[in-house]
Amino acid sequence: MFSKLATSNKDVKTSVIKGKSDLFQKFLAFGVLIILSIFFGALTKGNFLKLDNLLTIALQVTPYAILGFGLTFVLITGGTDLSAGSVLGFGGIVCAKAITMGVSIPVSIVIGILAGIIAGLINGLVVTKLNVTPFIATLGTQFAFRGLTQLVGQGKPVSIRAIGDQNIISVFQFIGSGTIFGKIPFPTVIMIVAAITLGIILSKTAFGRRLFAVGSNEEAARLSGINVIKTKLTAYIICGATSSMAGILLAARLVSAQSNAGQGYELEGIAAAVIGGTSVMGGEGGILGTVIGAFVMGVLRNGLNLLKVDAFVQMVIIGTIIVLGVWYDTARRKKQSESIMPVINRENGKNI
Amino acid sequence: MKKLFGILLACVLIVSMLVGCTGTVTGDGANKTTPSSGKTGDSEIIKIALITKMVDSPYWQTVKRAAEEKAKELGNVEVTHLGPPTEADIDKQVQIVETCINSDYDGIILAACDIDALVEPVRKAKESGIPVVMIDSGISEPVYDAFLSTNNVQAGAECAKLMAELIGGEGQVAIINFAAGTQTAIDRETGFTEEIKKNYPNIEIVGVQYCNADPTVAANQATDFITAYPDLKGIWGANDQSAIGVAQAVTEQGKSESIIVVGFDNSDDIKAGLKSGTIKGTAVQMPTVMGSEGVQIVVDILAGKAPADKAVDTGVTMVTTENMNDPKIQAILNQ
Repeated sequence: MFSKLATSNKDVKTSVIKGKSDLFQKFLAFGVLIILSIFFGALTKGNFLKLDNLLTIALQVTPYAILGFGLTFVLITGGTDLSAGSVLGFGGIVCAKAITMGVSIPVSIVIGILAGIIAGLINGLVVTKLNVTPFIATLGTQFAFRGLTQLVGQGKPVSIRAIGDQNIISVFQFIGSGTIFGKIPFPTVIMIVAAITLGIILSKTAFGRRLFAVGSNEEAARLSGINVIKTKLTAYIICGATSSMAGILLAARLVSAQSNAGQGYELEGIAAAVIGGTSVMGGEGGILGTVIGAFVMGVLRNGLNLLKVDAFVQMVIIGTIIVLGVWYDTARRKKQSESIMPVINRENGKNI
Repeated sequence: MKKLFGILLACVLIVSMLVGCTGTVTGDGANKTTPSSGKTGDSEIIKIALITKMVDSPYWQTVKRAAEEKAKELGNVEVTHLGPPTEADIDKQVQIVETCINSDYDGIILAACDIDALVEPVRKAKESGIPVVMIDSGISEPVYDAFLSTNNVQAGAECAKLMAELIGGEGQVAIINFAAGTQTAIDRETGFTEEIKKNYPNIEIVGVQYCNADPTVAANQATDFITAYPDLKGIWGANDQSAIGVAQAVTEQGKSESIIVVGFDNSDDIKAGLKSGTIKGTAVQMPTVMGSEGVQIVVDILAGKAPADKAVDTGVTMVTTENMNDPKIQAILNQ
């Protein structure tokens, strides 16, 4: 069914064009990353480029990147998930609560991720079955899942340290801030594994192609036999799973799950995806881009900190960069839709 | 799809069950603490309503216990603990205050859920001749008799003194504050920086970052401070989440020996940090003082002795790795 779609002439053409522009966008974001690194490296007299600092940045961007992966899937379908930060908190606190109740760490992690999957499923059902706009639907569930998180934690952090079992503490701490192969932070390794897995799913499988098809033109996708609801549902479930994964890693880093963990992180994830070339309009994007996007944000923050830039000035600079990223994305799409007349103009949703 | 809906429905049911349970537990708990003797001597017993933001939280239970103990000590005082089920139930708290005015309470101790909504009820109580002592959270107009709270400027200065002592009076110090633009956060930061500027010319505050009470963000910011200032001597986390994040960063960077972490407030994680030595000291607020002093002040007012100053600082206790095993300090840590 889907192979038929992929081989249809028009689609091949679009995907080729898309592939080119994706590459360019990634190249551009990657270029920005390199320029920023050289810039900060020079201004901090090499302090920025020290291996320790680069590994620090990798650890710092890990939760945002993992959150961004799931959001990339949802954004590609043309949706959004504003509840991702709350689901992060929910997954983390459920996992921590399970550990404090005596459940073993691996099982607790599975329970935490399951909590995220259920949250994602609920988001998906509200969007697809109740037909609520993703923005509003997930704005609502953002409150609901935060409330659930506070309920589980009774408004307080769930501390693993309070159990006092040194064995559990050290294992959990390793997951959140341990290092392997010498100095590489363990969460970052998880992030890389997740990036490769999800990247392959997105770019090499039929499911990945369906995601792009749904995001490019939902009606056309439906008519060509794609189960739009199932595709979207899966995207939200993946987003729930990655969100809770990020939450568990954060809880592990502090050996304590905060009931307010992840507040506002969904926006960081969306920013990372968008800077990396994922379109908020749907139909375009990639995991590698999101990794690069997350690093652009992380490098900016770290570099500005090392340059001792005032906290408030930093906010202005980072905000400006995000706006520039989205502006560039919009301008490029407009140019693209003007230059490729025969392709369906997505902005208007009709044939030109 | 039907299956999915079944699962969803099950989830909703479980959640509503949970919510239902907590609802009944919290309720509108009015716990009579000193059982009223039921004898005729009611006029001699001073009845005080302790109205907190909610009933069922360790913090307010601590306040309540302290108030009860004070009542027992004074002998002729009876404290009733009241409050809405959650801190967000402002209307409910207004109703509770109004009910108290209409029943036979002699005095009210109140922690306001909202700075504006409780002004009128407090005014009404005062007009009916009932003294009102505010604790912890005040109201926008000073219509009350007294307000007991932590003076955060003073508390910030205490943290600065401890930090200065621990780093030997000289070197670079960074601040991770928990919010920009919140009064409590501004007060603490002002207290800390003013104290350093005034009394410790050899200490340099290299910068302030705001972590939005997110320990992960605090950890990232602290790590960057450590990278940017290799000679950094100390980092102050201005609330519990900031301090936990800072302690984590210092541990990750292997600097727990050379960088002193001072925190603010108290939680399980802070206690663990003190025990392991990653946090060298913290400022603990005194809800017990709010409870006991609140009762004392109401009794004083009824005896015709109004407090000289409406604003009463309940102070903080600096708990350090040195003094934390002192039984007195242990009691404060576990209050």
